[in-house]
Amino acid sequence: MSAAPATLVKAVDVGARPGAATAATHRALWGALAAAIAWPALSLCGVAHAEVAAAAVGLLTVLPWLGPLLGVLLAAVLAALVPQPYAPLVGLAAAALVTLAAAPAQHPPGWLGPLSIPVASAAVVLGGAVGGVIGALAALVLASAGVRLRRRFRPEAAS
Amino acid sequence: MIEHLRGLRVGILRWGGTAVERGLAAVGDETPPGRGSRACDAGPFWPVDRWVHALYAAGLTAAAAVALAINWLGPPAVVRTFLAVVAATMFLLVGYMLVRTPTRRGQAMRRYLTDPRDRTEFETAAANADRIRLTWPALERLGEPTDPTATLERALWDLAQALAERGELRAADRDLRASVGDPIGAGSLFSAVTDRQAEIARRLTEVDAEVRRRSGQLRKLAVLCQDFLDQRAAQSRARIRVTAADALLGSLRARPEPDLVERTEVVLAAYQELADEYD
Repeated sequence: MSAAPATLVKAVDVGARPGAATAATHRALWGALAAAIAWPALSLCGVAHAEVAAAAVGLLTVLPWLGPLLGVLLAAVLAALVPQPYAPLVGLAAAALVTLAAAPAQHPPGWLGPLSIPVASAAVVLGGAVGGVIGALAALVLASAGVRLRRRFRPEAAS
Repeated sequence: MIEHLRGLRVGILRWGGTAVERGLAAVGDETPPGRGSRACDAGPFWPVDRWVHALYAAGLTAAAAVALAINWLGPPAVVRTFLAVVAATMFLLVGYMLVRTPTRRGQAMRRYLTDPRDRTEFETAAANADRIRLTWPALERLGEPTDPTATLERALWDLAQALAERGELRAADRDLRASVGDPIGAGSLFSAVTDRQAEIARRLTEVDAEVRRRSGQLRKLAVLCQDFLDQRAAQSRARIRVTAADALLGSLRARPEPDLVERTEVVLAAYQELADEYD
């Protein structure tokens, strides 16, 4: 009995290099996570229009380069400007909380698929209008997971 | 077929491709909007990530503004849900209308140039063509024709066809190599397979040389145009420096030497002479 011929196989790790849309979707999820953390923190600090401020923090986080830093600074400044005795400490705590959101957001789970710009925007509108900042985060996560699931079961399908 | 190729050509060639459009095309490469198009996880992704993030931020800002406005209105839950669904549908429709044209290019290229290496090579050639088109007006009467866009588009399209042909030949070569390894016996079928493989390899060498020649011509012309521009810039810089030097030389005037040393020397010599006489 002769041995089976050896076959050379080149392993290709498809997921090793995320594409532009995947990277941007992960960044949008990072922004939504920062907004979802900033909203209760700013509300507890007594910042006026906390939801708007949290949305601004999240949107700044989406931007490249200095975006996340600007988001943290905005949260810190808004909390520090509240007229109360421990305002600087509260601002520092709010900034630390928003910064902590970056730790899990740096390595998002692989089951979050790429969303196109229209789908991401529609998810934010739907989730944000129904459930506020938390709803927007949940909608983004659900849409992203749905895209990944759909690609897994129907590779030829689009997002 | 001609219409199909013309549409493909319009999709592949870069018509007014800005960084924003290339960013949208990169997103479209990964998230094809239509049914039946294959998702492509392996690039090429152009260096447009900053623009991609900025575009996402713009879309999300508009979405957040609409969501906050709905929340600010504070309607009942049913009305709020209805408004949210309507707004999300509008975002989907308008968003796909806005990104449809730029993403069409990415889809066409993905369908026509199946090998990522070919797409990268075409992108490089397209960048060279852009450089030529941008520097061409500076050649003035030296450049013929006045507008090189049609010629460059023709060159790019020919290169795209050669690249597509090379991709098909590579695929056929891979398939034939696999057949050589399969248990097909050593008869006439094996001879036919090896013959076709040799023919494909010969043709592949020719097309490879053609691709190198065509992309090399575009690169060489781009370098020539750039060198000409650099030379003209250096010449004008030198002229400005010569003019400045002339102005400087013209402004220089002779300054009078101080006569204090000479006069003191004469006085001291006379004093020394008188002193010698009395001594």
